[in-house]
Amino acid sequence: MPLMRFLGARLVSVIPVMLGVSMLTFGLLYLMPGDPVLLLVSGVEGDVASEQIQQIREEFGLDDPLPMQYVSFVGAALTGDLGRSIHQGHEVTGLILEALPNTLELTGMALLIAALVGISTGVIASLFHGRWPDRVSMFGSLLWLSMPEFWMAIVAIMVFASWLGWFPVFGAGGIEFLILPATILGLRSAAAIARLTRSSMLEVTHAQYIMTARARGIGEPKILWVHALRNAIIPIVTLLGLQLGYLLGSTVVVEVVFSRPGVGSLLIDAVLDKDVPVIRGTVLFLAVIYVLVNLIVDATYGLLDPRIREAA
Amino acid sequence: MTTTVSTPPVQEGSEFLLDVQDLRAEFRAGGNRWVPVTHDVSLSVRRGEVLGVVGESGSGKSVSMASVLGLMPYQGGRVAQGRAIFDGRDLLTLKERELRQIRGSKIGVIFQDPMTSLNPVRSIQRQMVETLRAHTSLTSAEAKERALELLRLVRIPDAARRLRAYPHELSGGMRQRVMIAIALSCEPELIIADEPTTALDVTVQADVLALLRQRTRERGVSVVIISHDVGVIASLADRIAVMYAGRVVESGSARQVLGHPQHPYTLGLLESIPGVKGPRTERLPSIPGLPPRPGGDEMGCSFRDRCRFAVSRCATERPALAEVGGEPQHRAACHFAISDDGRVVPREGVVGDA
Repeated sequence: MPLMRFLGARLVSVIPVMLGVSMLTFGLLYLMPGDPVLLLVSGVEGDVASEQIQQIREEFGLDDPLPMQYVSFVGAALTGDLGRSIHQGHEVTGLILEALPNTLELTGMALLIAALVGISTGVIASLFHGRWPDRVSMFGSLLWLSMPEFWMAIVAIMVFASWLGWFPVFGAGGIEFLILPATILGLRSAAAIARLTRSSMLEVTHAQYIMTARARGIGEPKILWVHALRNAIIPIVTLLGLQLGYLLGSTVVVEVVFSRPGVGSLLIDAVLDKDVPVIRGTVLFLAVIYVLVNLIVDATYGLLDPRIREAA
Repeated sequence: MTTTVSTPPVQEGSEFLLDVQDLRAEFRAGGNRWVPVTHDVSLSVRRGEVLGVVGESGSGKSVSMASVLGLMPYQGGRVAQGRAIFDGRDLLTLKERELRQIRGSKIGVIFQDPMTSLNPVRSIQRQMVETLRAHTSLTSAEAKERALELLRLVRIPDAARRLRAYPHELSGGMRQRVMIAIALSCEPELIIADEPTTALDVTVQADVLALLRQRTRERGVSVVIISHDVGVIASLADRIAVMYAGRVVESGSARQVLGHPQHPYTLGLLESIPGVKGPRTERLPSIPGLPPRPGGDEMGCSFRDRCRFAVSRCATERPALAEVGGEPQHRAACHFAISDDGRVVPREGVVGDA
């Protein structure tokens, strides 16, 4: 089972990455200026007595040596316990799980739009290499990539929600709430995917095996969709994985502009409130998702390219 | 080898299976400028015959075959003029859809580099079955069965396992055998083999050539084999066409062309083969200089700058490809005839066509 071995090898390589991520998020508390305890209790009204501070230190185990603190942080995180928010005292895990469906919905839809629009635009551009559809789509994608996301979001709200009234301005709920933010988020990724698809397709369509396939009498549609795209898709899948991480991160901006509840809004609110456990939990959570997604992408890579299965 | 070589019955109609006349292929040189890369190329193959096309890279061998197969548009080129009668039909006038039915079916193609000729992400079986199903009414299961037979036919050991393998799991020689199997799969009348052994190890080359010869002879399949290697051509071809700078400069039976070369370029090619006999210390003769670039001047003989026999007439009058005195079917495009002791005498009746 070469594929299983390949996946096993990848799984092992994830461990040091996760260690690094957990150390960075753990260290977040200590990298922020000021006494961590004061940071932790800064939301509490009134003066904090020194006994109270000492009590909190003991409660959070802050007097323990750092390695021990780290171990108990990781230990708790592994059991799904990311601590409690210092404001409402809610469990961080619960807050994230509550916000997660909205964010997943948004990211998933954005990724779908990115893949569909990006790949088809790239394929069309490569088919019309050097002619106007190619030039228009490449110029358009460059333009799109160069515009800041929040600005595009604001313009989109203004045009499609305020003036035309096609979509609700903000909030979450049915599909009508999803279309605008997902499109804004997805099209930016689509622009990057389109450019890569185009160059990847151009490279592949000049490959000898494409000419051989023609010489074997295989029809052009099959050559394009099966022989060419099947090879061209390999780098695109990698980019899709990276884009998913980018999209997850960008939900922070888009969720705020569209006032959508979600992991991104949760993170932003936590940052504004200096709610360290929530920041720490959310960042760790997003990082884990990112690593897992790229693990899945690596697995797909092996499925798509038989040569890679061997190399692992 | 005990295979009986049977001559296929000559069918009615033309004497030739493929008859290419006055082919002129061009490549786009930017904008609307087209540069011709072959000039008035005429090649013909009889049924069951092996035609060897020899010449250095850039001489227009592969381009001529890509033109015949209708593959020029995919390479940024076009066929500006000429005919290519195959089985009574002019391939150059056929629609892409009609050509597609001929490619891979009536005409099998083998390319130079077996490393890159097979799609790396599809198994051997899928690529074989795909070709079979594009041209026959076989079911998927029947096509798999046939693919397995074909791999055995090209002497691939452990064929059942190899069938499921991916191209990178096979050696170069194995892959070229797979290409031969695919070329043979739909019972073609003609196989075009473009440098089929150039990318292979020398020891594997001989095996692959022998296999190609045997499997095509026993089926009476005609072959056009393209190579820059005179040795490869000599080992396989019944007739030979020598190309230089986009033109056929000599053609005739293998015996005529190899035994009594009548064009100085052919002579140079033959002399540059290292002989087993003779002193080793002697410097191997080579042809000095480089071939002219396409789109250059159209006057005179294109070989004159490298020719040891060139005279002033060669710069002004292009010699036409004309029959060599006393030898039917042997043609050469030179103002001179070359005697067996290597001397030249002016020929009569070679009219310049430039």
